[in-house]
Amino acid sequence: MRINRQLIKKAKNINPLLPYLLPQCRTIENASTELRWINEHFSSKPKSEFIEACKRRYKGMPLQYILGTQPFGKNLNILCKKNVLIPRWETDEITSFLNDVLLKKRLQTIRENQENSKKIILDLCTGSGCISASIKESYPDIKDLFIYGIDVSKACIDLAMENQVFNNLENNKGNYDTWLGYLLHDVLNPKKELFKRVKKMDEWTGGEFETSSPFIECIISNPPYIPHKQLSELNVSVKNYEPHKALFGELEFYKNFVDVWSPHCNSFFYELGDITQLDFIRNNLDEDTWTVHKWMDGNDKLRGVYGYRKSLKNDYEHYI
Amino acid sequence: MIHCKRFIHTQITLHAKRVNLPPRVRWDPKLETEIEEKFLYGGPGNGGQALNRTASRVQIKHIPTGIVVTNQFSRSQKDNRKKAREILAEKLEALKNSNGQGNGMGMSDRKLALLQKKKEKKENRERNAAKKYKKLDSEREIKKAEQAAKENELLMNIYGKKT
Repeated sequence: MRINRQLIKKAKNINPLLPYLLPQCRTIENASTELRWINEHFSSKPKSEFIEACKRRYKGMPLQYILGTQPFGKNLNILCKKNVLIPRWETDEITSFLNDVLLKKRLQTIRENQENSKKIILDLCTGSGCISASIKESYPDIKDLFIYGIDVSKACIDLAMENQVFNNLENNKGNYDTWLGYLLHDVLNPKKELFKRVKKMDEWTGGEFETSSPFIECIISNPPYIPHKQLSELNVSVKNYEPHKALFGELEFYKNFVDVWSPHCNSFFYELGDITQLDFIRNNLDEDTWTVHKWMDGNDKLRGVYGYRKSLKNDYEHYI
Repeated sequence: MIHCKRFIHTQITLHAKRVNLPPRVRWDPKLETEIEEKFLYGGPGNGGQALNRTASRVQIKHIPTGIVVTNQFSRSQKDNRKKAREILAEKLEALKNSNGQGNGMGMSDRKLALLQKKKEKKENRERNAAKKYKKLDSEREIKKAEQAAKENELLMNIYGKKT
């Protein structure tokens, strides 16, 4: 869609750099706020860099890649780099739902009981590590809780670890805090070693923890879910700059969940973009053991599916 | 030797001046039940991974009074929500203080105090400026008079000699 000439003129009168931001922002109001953010970020640097940043934004580079970070969760700043998907606001809402509603009571019981058995939360397709980092931020001191982020891309795991350090969420050996770690592994073809690795080792002492079966407490995932045929409709900043591996997918991750992961977990949350994905999970999970709900985002669009075992109703259902 | 300059005291005086103001209007968590919160994202298509929105705008509506506040100041949604609530608290306080109630000026005590301070500062500045220019003017006039007297004397001397 072309931008109105008068709008460009009007923007130029306000600030000569403002027209550069119009293709991505569309309105003068949004462009001005974005210009302010860029200006704040480059305030201590030479002006040429600031102008260069505006020009890069004109070409469609995502703002988060220019500024380097994206605020997330309660107080996190997630670093954003090439080859890793930028956390979306929907995912931010999902994590606040997970932390404040879905997992709240369950994690509180785990904290109070201290059964000395390993409780595992998996963040599949972790990307920048934002979801797992945000859970550790909200529940920093549960001794039995171990969070693993798993991704197939090396760039993602490197950035996720960088993010962990950047947000002061490192694991300290002395105190028994919530443990957070990242593993490089293919989610679609999990090998036996991955299960072994997650299940057996106590990350602190090297000894063995008890694991009950199903051994995973919760599986959270933001898998790629845009259908391949939508490629042409996508915005330049998404299409040309973000990794396609993290964007395009149809049912494979949902199929993979039903076949591979669901027997091992107590509850799950999957982000999705389409009703077919919701229906697939609904139809293929056993109705007698699973309760499945859909989740709507702040924009009133279908954005997620979550569920839990009927036997754990008391721990998961209190909020409805 | 420029590095030896010190700027320690300026900050301390500034801080001391600010303490005298009435407290900032705080958001009361009890009001949380009276508001309706909306996140305005819009944008084409289905959203999600397909769209990378940078701005998150929060709109809150106070149902009993119908006041609507929107805020898009920061990139973080949490900050925006907090800020929108602060603005709403300020507006509600302003409503309490209008129509002859409270201070009757249609703004919170703190804002009023800040405004008065600003006004005072401006008046002070104007007064000082006026004083300064009055002094300068009077000096200039005295100088002018002296100059005129000198010239007169000189002329008198010249003509006096001739005649």
